[in-house]
Amino acid sequence: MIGLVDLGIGNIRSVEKAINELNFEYKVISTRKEIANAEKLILPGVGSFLAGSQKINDLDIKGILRTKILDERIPFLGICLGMQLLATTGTEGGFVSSGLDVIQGVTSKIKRSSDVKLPHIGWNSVKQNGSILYQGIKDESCFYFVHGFEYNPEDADANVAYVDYHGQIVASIEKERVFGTQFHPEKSQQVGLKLLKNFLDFK
Amino acid sequence: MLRYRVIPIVLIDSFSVLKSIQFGTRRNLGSPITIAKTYNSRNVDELILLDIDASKTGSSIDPFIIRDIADELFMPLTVGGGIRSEVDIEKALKMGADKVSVNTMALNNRDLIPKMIKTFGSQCIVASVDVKKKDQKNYLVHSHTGSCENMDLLDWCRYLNDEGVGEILLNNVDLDGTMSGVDAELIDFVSSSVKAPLIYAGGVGKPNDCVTAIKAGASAIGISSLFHFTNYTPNDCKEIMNINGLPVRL
Repeated sequence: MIGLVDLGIGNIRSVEKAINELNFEYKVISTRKEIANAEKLILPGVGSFLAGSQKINDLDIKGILRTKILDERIPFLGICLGMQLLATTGTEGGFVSSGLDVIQGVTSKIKRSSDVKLPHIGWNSVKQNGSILYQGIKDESCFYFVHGFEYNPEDADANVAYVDYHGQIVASIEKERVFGTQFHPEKSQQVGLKLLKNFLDFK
Repeated sequence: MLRYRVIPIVLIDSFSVLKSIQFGTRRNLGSPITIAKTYNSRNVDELILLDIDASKTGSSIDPFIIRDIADELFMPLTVGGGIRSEVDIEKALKMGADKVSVNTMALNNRDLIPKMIKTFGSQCIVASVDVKKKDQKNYLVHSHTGSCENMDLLDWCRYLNDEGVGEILLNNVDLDGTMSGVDAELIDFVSSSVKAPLIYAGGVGKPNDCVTAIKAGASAIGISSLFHFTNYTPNDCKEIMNINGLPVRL
């Protein structure tokens, strides 16, 4: 069962639509029991790290998510905030909150010089890194980004792809069976759908 | 690097698409779903959907219209029209919108902006600002409620920027629907004073106007009349932008 984890913040409908378009069956889930039964997990999210971290606490699903991802090693895809939550911690407005700590690293605000527009919003080209996510997708294809924070993994074994926005930003990550995209594949037209299909097909 | 965006703006009055001229005269253009389908098939960068009567009538953009349109799109959707509260935003997002545009709400109760941003994140909130030229040098914020008779545009944009809105959508009332060209001075004036990306709308009459707007400092250009009333497509605009050295997604 493909579980689409609903943290209750942001819009999962778009992800649902994309999965439907690709003809895969899935269940929208949010409880420990439902997560325990999943064979594959997608965690989308839009919003602040703080809010995401809080929701994970409220739903009391940090433990089961880590068990499924790290022990059972089921395939996992985090989208946008979902990828950022893979971090150890996230800092926002002076607060430090904890992430899932699945791939060591920190999520923090993107810093650029004063003449650079922020948040990072729009289509930007990703320099691919051989991740299975990009199979069949032309290198430097554009995906849609809309975020003010970035995830910086500190794990040397993680396969990271970057996007250039007056400096590098982590666009996607792959480590064993854990995947994350900073961009929104469900909002990235055909290339986005292809990427999602690559994950949904992944065994 | 980040591409510049061409964003069709679809205006509705509850359920029908329309186009205004200088925020006055209107022409009715049919079903929003048909129009959304067309734009999706044209592989546009994103779409902005605004209910321009909702605020005036005390209602907000119909959630089912949002859903029906979002269901046609695999690209980002911004919706606006009478968005007044966190509940309105949550509803819009649940129905498939990615970002919400707020205008009157922000003017009437500026304290709500930081609250919205805290809950939903900066990237979700687009501040829509209608602007009229007062005289040669002065621009004022325009509102149908008449609540900002003498509000300076820059002061307001700076406030929105400092509070952390994700983007600013600048709607030029004087040029709206005229297809007579964009106001490059206005674009430069605002974009050089704020860190948030600027989406400029109002006056695009030919694809080359997009080049003017972007070179003046806009991150994206909102277009309505050009696509409704001429044969130019979003790709035509992007081709010209590309030829002029502006990175776009083709």
